[in-house]
Amino acid sequence: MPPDEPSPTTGLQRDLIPVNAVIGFLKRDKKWPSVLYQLGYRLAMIEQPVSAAAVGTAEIDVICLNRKRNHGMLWECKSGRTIEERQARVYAAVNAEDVQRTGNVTFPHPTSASVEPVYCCLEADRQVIIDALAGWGLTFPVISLGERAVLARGQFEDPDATECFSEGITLPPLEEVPRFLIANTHTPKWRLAGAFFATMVSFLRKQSGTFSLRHMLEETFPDWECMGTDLRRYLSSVAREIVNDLCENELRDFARIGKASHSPGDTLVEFTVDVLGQDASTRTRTFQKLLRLAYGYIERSKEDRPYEPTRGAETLWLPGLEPE
Amino acid sequence: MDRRDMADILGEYLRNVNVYFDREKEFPKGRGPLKTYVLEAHRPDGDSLNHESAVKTLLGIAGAAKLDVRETRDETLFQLTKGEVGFFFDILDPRFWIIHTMSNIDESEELLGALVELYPHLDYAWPPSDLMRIIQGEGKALGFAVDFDETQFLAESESHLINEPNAVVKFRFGGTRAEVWLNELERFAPDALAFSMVKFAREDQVTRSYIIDELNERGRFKAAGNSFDLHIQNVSRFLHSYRSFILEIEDVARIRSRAQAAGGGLLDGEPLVLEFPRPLRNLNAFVRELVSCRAPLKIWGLVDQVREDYFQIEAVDLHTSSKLRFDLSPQYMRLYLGPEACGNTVARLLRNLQSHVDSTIKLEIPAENVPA
Repeated sequence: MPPDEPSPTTGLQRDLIPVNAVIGFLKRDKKWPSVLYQLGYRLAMIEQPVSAAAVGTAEIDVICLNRKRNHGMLWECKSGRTIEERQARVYAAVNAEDVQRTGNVTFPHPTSASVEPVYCCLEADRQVIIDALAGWGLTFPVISLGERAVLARGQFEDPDATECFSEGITLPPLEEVPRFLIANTHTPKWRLAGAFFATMVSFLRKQSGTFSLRHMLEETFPDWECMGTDLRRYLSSVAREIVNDLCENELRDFARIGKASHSPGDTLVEFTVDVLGQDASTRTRTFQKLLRLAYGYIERSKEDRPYEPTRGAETLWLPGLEPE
Repeated sequence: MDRRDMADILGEYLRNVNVYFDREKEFPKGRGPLKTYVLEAHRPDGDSLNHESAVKTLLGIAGAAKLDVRETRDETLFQLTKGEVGFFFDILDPRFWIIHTMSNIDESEELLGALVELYPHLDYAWPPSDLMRIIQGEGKALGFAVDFDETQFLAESESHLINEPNAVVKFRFGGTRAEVWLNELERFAPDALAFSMVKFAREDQVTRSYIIDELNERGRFKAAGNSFDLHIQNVSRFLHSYRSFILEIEDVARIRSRAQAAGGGLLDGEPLVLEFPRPLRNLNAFVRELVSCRAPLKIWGLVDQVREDYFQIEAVDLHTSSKLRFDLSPQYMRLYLGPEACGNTVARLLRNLQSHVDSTIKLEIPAENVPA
C-alpha cells in the first residue's frame, strides 16, 4: 500500500524515514543521535524473518542486541498509518529462543536472553498505531519521530532506554536522517532512476564491458543481500524496465542489451564505447553529457512520458547548478 | 640492478644536489633534489591489485605512454625511461607505488601527470594537512608552505572575495624558526593554514648521516643530504601513516551487507561526516564544483535539492569508478561509501576542502568508544 502522504520533498521518501532513523540510532553518525549505540546496543540484523511457533512469521525490520544485558530489541518501523494485527501478534509472541534459532542472532547467554518488540513511527501516525495496539491488548513501547524521538506509549524492559526516550531526544530535521536504506516496494520508478543511472556510469567508468542486472542491483543498494523476496522482485523488475528504456533511448550511443550466453533469459548490458580511450578533456565532456542525460531521464520518468530525442537536456539542470 | 644498486645510485646522487629546493629550476642539470612520489593504483574494474596484476598494470601503462621498461633482479622494482626522464618504480606494495627520479622536476612531473591522466586508476596520495605536520614533527622543522584559496570553489561572480582577509593565503617560509612563524600565522589566519609543503631534517649522529626532506600535498618528497637510508625511512613512515589512514576509512566507512542463509542480514559500515567549522559561503557553487567531473575532485554526481540548504547526491568517483552518496548542507557533508569504495576518494576530498574551504576541517573516523 502506498504511503498515506506524499513526501514534501524530493529527498528520501517519507516512509523510509523510521527504519533509517532506527539504524541511525545504532550507528555513530555525528549528525544523528547515536542513542541506542550509546546505551550499548549494536545492529544485529535487518529485514530478518523470525518465526514464533503456532503464531507465524514476521520480517523484523531491525534487530539490535545489548550483549551486556543479554537483551535484544525487535523494531517494527511503520512506514505509514497501516498496521497489521497478524504481524503485531508475531512480534508479541517471539521470544529470544525464536530470534536465536530462526533469526540467526547469537545471544551471549541463550538460556537467560530476553527480547522485546518496539514500534517506531512518524509523529503524524502515532495515534493510529497506539490505538491499534491498545485495541489488540498489546503493550509494546512506541517511539514517535518528529522534532524529538519520544516514547509515546509503554515502557522498555531496559530502564535506561525508557529514561532516555521518555525525556525525548532532539532530532535534526527528519529529511536529514542518514540514508542507509533507499528503497522499498513503494518506491516509484522515477526515484530509482537516478540511482540506477549512477550505477551504469560507474560500470561504464570501470570499463566493465558488460554487466548483469543482478550486479547492478547489488551495486545500487547497500542492503541488497538483506532484502526480502518481494522487495528484490520489485526492484529487479524496475531495474529491468529502466535499463531497457535507457539502452533504447538516452544511452543508445553508449550501451545495448545483450543476452548472457550461459543464461539467455538474463538481461546483460554491453557497453559500446571506450570512455578511457578518450583524452582527458573529451572524457570529462562525456561524463558531463551523461550527467545531462541523467537529469533528462529522471525528469522524463517523473512525468511518465516517452523519450524525445530533440528535447534539450541542457535545460534540465537545477537552477543555479548549470555548468558554467 | 636491484634495490641495493638503486639505493647506491640514489644515495650518490643525493650528496651532490642543492638543498635550496624552491630554486630548483635555476639549478644546472643533475643538481635538483631527488624526487620521490607516492601514487595509489587500482585495477580498471576498481578492485585491488595484487603483485601479478600490479606488474601487468604498470607494463600496460608504460606501453600506452611509450615508456621503455627495464626489469631488475627484484621483481617489484622497475626502471622506466622516456627521453631524458627516468624513474624507479617500486611496486612492493601493489596498491601504493613509490617512484623515485633524479630527472628534471618539470619534465618528470609532466610525464607522471600524463600517466595519471592516461590511466585514471592511478591517483596521487592526498595527505591531509595534519598528517603532513605529524610527519614533519618526526624531524626538525625547516620550513613550510601554506596555500589556501577559497575562491576556487566559488562562483566567478564572487571573485570580490579575494579581497577578504584570509580568503586567499599563500605563504612560504624556510628556516629553523618555522614553528615560531607558524604560531604567528595561527593568530592571523587560523582557518587558512592549509599546508602545501612541510620541510624537515633528520640526522643520525652515530653514522654522521642526515637528510633534508620536503613533503607536499600530493605525496611528493624532495630530498637532499647524504643518506638515502634516512630518506627512504621518511618515505616509508609517510607511506605507513597514509596507508593506515586510507585502510581505516575503508574498514569503518564502506557500507556493505552480508546475507544470512535464512534471509535478513548484517549491515556494516558508518557514514563519514565532515563538519564545516563555519557555514559554506555559497552552497550552490560548492555543489557545482563538487560534481563537475573535473580534477582535482573528479566526481560525477546527480544532485537532488531537498531544501534550499540541503542536497542529496548520487555520485561516482571517476578515479576508482566506485559509487558513493553525499548529503550536503552549509554546515556539514555526509559521505556514504559503497562496498568497494576507495579511501583515497575521501582523502582527495578532505585535502581539497582543507585547501579551499577551511583548513581546520578534520575527518573523525568513528571509533568504537562505548563497550557493547
